[in-house]
Amino acid sequence: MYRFAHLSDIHIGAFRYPLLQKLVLKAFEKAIDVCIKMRVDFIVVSGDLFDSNIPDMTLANSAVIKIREARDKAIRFYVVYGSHDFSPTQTSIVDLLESAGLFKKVTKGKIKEEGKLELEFHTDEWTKAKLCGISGRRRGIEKEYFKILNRENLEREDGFKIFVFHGPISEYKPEYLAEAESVPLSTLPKGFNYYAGGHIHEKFLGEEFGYNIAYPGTLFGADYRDLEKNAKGQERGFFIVTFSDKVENIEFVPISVCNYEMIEYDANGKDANSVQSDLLEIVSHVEPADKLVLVKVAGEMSGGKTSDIDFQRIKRILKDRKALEVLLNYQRLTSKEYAAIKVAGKDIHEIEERLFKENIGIVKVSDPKLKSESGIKLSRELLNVLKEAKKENEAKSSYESRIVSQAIDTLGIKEVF
Amino acid sequence: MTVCGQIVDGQVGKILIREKSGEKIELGDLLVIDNSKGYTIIQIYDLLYGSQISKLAREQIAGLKLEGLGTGLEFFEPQLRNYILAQGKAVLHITNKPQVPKTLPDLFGTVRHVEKKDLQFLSKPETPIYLGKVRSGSKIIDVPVYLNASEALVHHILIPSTTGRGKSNLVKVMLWSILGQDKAGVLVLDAHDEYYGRTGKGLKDHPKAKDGLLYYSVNPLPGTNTLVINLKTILPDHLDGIIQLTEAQKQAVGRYYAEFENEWIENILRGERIEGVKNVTLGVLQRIIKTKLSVYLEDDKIVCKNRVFNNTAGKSTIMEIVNKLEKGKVVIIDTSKIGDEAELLIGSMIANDVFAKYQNFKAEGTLSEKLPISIVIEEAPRVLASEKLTVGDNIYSKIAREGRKFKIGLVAVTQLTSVIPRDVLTNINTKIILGNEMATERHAIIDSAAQDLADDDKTIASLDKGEAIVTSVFTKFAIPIQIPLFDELVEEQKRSKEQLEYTG
Repeated sequence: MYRFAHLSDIHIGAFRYPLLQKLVLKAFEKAIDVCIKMRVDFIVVSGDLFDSNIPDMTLANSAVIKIREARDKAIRFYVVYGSHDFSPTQTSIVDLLESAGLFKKVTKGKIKEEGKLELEFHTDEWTKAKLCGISGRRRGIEKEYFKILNRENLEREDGFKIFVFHGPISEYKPEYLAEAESVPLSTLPKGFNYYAGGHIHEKFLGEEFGYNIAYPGTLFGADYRDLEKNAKGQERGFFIVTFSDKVENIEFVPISVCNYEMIEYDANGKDANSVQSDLLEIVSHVEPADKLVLVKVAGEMSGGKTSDIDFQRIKRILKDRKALEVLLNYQRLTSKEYAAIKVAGKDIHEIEERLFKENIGIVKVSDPKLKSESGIKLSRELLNVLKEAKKENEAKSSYESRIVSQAIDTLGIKEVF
Repeated sequence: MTVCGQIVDGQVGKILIREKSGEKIELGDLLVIDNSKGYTIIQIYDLLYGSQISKLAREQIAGLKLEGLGTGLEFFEPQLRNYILAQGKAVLHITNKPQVPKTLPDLFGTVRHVEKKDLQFLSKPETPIYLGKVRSGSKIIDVPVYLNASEALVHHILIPSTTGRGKSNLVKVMLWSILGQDKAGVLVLDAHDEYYGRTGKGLKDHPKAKDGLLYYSVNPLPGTNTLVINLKTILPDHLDGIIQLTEAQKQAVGRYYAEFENEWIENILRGERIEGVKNVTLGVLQRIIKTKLSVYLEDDKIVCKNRVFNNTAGKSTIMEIVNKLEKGKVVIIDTSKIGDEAELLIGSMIANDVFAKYQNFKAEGTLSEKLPISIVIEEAPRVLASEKLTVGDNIYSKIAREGRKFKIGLVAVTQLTSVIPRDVLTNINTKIILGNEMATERHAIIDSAAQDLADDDKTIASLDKGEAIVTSVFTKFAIPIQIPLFDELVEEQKRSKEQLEYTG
């Protein structure tokens, strides 16, 4: 019997708060410790180990130390890119780690003359497990790869086979990802023993249609929505799969790195003063010490401005009482009197998406690529490029030219320059 | 310009034309009378014999010939004495723009067959639905006929015809032209799995199918979607008018929903008792779910015999379909293996979601920016027949009556127009009439047509396979068309292959 671990969507480097960044890293380190302790033969990471293609180097360094520790125990890492740690224009840290011999990308393949994508298996030397897969992409281009994938060749191969991918499967897509690009099950090659999926942040095992689809979900989370789910009891962790010539057992290993306190408040019909005093009252009754506290206030107030509520005061009170960190969410708080917040969404990506959708029509352009859906897509990509922060020790001029070059690539106007 | 006849008599709606010898005027022919200010188009709806010889004399001549006594007997100048009279109606008068004729054309005016140049006013709209070419009798004129999708789809389209007259071919031709425009979303509930092209040619062969077409089936082809709907996404409202429930059963369903929310079906199947629902009602509901939806409990697990409904998968299927429709995609749902009720229920779930969403858009004032959505429903009387609607409205009848206000339409395909209530038929502003040998059906169609087709009974009866008449508030007159064969249409368009680069 052999064992492998299946991790996904760790998102090292996510969050602005240093504490949350550390918790992400801690979750990863804990998971690797379990893998070492359980003596897994190899670890499959189905994308988004890092939150960006060039993550914060301090965090990356800590992660690499842990990866090195596992590698020293002869644990192999098989990976695909995720939608976050891939860049169409730049080298990713994933490539760096592969070059350093710490990782093996299992996405080797090429498009043959007849237009079919031929993937090559990578055989794990010790267990003889065969792995291949398709990386995730920001623009959902992996969908095109799935469409042209030569499935028959992959299906003919015998042995214990693992298919690694990063993206939602249409049939199993959660409601909140309904608008996201996905691939139907029928695009996957049949007959693999295990389909190691990534991108979905909740653990999921599905075998209704003859495919052993597994999404371990994120280890900790990458945004407020994930943390809210954690606070509401969502179990986080990864899978350890025991196998011979078939899957013998799939065990979910829970990983927890902190305790949570969730404060949800419905401000509907109340004025700003009542909301403020109610929140102060609620906060006085919670035990925030050593917990990650999430405060979510939503609804339409009958009067006052949202800015009349001193959220920072609430945050200070909780921090003073030793909360690990306090995350405030009042994006869905509005007031009848002052409709200050025009666009609300579950997370930053949704808000951006909505803003683009609502405003794309205002921009008068003739190029169809800049209009409607393709225009929204392009805007999103460009924003992602523009969001990239300057790396520590990166010269301002290098940073600027990096961003300009990426933006030009994204806009596809290289020839103009 | 070849003269084919001359006006000899008549009145409004009944113009009598004498056919020129050697020319052939057919039933359904479009003829043109030119005048100094423009021209008038006449459509022929009846043909009869005319003769300068009295009936008695004609009978006598025939008798002589038949009995062998008339050897060498010939008409002197036969082309002058015996002829064909064509009866027609002026359908359009064209001066600067096409108008409904309000005057009679000149008596003794000469008549010619319609030509391509006479029909230039049939322009291509911005969002075209191609139907075929103009047909004059059995002659095809090289003038394409289009409907404007953004108007016609939301005002509903009826395709009435008996079996074997080319309904599916027509729908495929229409979808072929809509696909890839991304200007109107179309949901096709495909009861015979004939549109996608699982075995032969189909919409999958469209050059823009990759981005513009989605296909859902319980038996998906590689690259297509599994038709799987999560039981938790079914709401009691979705059953309205689709599955017949008594008042007591409806109340019981309501109680289960109130108690268990989206797990109401599962709890009915598991026989969870709740206050106010009798055992017998629960038993009946369990049976209804089992028989109508093929969902039942086996070894404590929810199982679906037709594989459509699932307790784990399919949570976002309906939402995804609705999103794609909103983006102007064509979505085909192969319902050939899932039974009537399941098919209509899925359609109802999607239609309800679309309706609710578009109602919201209207309330928000953003409806004008949204694309129209249409639902193609075969054997429309299953949901639109009078007897179905007596027990209450369903989402399809609601769309037929109110959908236009929210940019949602129906393409109703039926063999039986007569069973659809008049108020629903009246709301359907475009009818593409194919051949129909049943007089009652023809009358139902004629009675609800956008143009006066009272004289066209014979023309409709004589429509051959692939021939149709388009009557619509959006067409200048009831246009006779020849629908192309879908397979030939596909042949005309070759798929251009895009080269993709692979980076692992």
